[in-house]
Amino acid sequence: MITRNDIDEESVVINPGKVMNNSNAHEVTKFIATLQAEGCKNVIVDMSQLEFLSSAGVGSILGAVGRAREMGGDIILCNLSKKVLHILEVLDLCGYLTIKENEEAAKEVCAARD
Amino acid sequence: MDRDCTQQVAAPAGLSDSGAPLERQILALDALSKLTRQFCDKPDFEQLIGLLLMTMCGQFSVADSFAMLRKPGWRAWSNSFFATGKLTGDTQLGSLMLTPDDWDRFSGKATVHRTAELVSQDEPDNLVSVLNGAGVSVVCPLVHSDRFFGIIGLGERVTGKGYGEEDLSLLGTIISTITPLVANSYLFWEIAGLNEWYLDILNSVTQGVFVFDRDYKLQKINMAGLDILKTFLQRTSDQASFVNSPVDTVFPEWVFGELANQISQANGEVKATTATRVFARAKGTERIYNVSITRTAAGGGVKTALIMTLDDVTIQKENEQRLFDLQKLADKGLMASSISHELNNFLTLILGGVELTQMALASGESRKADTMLDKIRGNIVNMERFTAGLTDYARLESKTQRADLNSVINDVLPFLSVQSRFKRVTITSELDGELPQFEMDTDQIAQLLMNLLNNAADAIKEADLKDGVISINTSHAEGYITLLISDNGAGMPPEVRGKLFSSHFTTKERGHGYGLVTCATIIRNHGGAVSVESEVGRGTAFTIRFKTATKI
Repeated sequence: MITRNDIDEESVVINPGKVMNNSNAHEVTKFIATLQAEGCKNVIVDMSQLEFLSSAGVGSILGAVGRAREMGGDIILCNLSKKVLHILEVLDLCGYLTIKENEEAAKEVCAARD
Repeated sequence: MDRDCTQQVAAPAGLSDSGAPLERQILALDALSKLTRQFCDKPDFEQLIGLLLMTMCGQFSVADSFAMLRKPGWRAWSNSFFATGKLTGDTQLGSLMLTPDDWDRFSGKATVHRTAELVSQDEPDNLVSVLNGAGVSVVCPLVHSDRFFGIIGLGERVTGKGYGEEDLSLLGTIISTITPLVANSYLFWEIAGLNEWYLDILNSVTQGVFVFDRDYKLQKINMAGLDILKTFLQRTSDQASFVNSPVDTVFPEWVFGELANQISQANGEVKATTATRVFARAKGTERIYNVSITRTAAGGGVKTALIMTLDDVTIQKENEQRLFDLQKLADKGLMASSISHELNNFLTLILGGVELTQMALASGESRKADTMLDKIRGNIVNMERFTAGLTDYARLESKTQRADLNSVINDVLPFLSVQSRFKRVTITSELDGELPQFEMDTDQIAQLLMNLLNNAADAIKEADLKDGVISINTSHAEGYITLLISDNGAGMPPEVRGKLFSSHFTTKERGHGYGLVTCATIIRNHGGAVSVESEVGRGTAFTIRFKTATKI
């Protein structure tokens, strides 16, 4: 289950839970798309609980990043485990995605964009 | 670009930087095996394609992807569009209606194509220009067992790197691995589309359609069927509430009572039965339905055994009755005029005879007076015959009964022969002595004969023949009775023949155009069929066939 914590009108922290794979990739995509439709430019994805990230999970994030950046915002990933980070490295995505160590650092990115 | 890989970790032991493609292959293999496990038992095509796109995006670091698939069902060349990232909102790509040529170009191509290469190979056109305009870098056709399902396209990689040979090779491997699963899932999607189509057809039928299994339990009912049940039951119910209900609980008792025999007939030796039935919940609430019950050709297969259709023909029957009454009224008017004319003729002759008799008596010419009285007597006898013919016709009972067609003909003929329109006409009849009886409304059959014979006499008059002949012939064979009425009158050109049974169509100066419409209605009411042969200057023949077993 995805949880949501609003920072302000344009920034929200979400937590996708333990996995991002086939079982919830659609849900994550829809969840973020709904936030973006509401005018939320920055979405912080708190991956502190995330134990498994599949290609489908990565795909759902990539689709959202494109839309966020078009809106002048971003999708910021934080609290990544080594395992999850490694997958992003394998896919050569660390240079493309905005990845922060923790939520505070991610919020600073949002604040800087405001 | 904000990049902060402070949590970056070293590659796992045994994997150097150049080993990354192997990890990507493992990641791809893992994703594909999960997709296969997830969808092999529960094929949900749209969900599968959505996840496949997301997997491909993740696998190849792409934000924008799409799938364009041939829509199953009857819309052969429409397509379904799925997309991620920016391509979701690409209206040109999303609304692109692919042509058979567009599909054909990928048939047999199971590899991955760079869109730039498609252009360089001089592929025609609109599809390629739209793909390039949308920023699609690679296109993969989905082909399995020579069947082409659609194309998947990926946009530019977010890493800024192009698609190398290793990427294309991995993409091709993923596509060829996943295509059987896509094909299987597509098949289910197709079946769902066909099911939707069949339901759409079923619900578009204006008759109520009820499909029962071999245990007489309702399996399908269309919207018109639900409307009929709403009329019967005086409450609204949905389809689900009737499914698996036995036939005797689907319909109320006063309806089922009328249907029971027909159902058992249709499930017996007779494969299909049709009948017009009157259902009445109470007096004054009668509705008339044409009920058809058919047993399926395969004897029911697993699910279906009987298909019942109910067609509400109450208004149609009421209109037919009105038309019939109108025809009778018009005929009565003509008949009254004709009778009045005939009686006047007799009375003129009698009056003239009386006057001549008086003159003969006054001049003492008793022999002449006797002769005149004989003539007067002769005219009175003729008048008596004429009125007796009228009485015979009037005596015909109007009710449905098993009756002999020959008897009705014999009752009608004496009345006709005294009418002036038949004065120059010889009526010959050759009636089958072993003609079986069949269920008929004798009044309607008499009306049918009157109309056809009057028309024949008028056609002879129109041809100005002095030796006009009308032949009436009855015969029977193989469950059918045939009535043939032919004349040697004026005949009809083909364009008239084609409109014969249309309301208000007449070639007669004083005709009303209802005569043959009424004939057609009467024949239909008796489950019969009519054919007409005619040639200008040679005459006309009406052949009418009735089933001996028809119930009306």
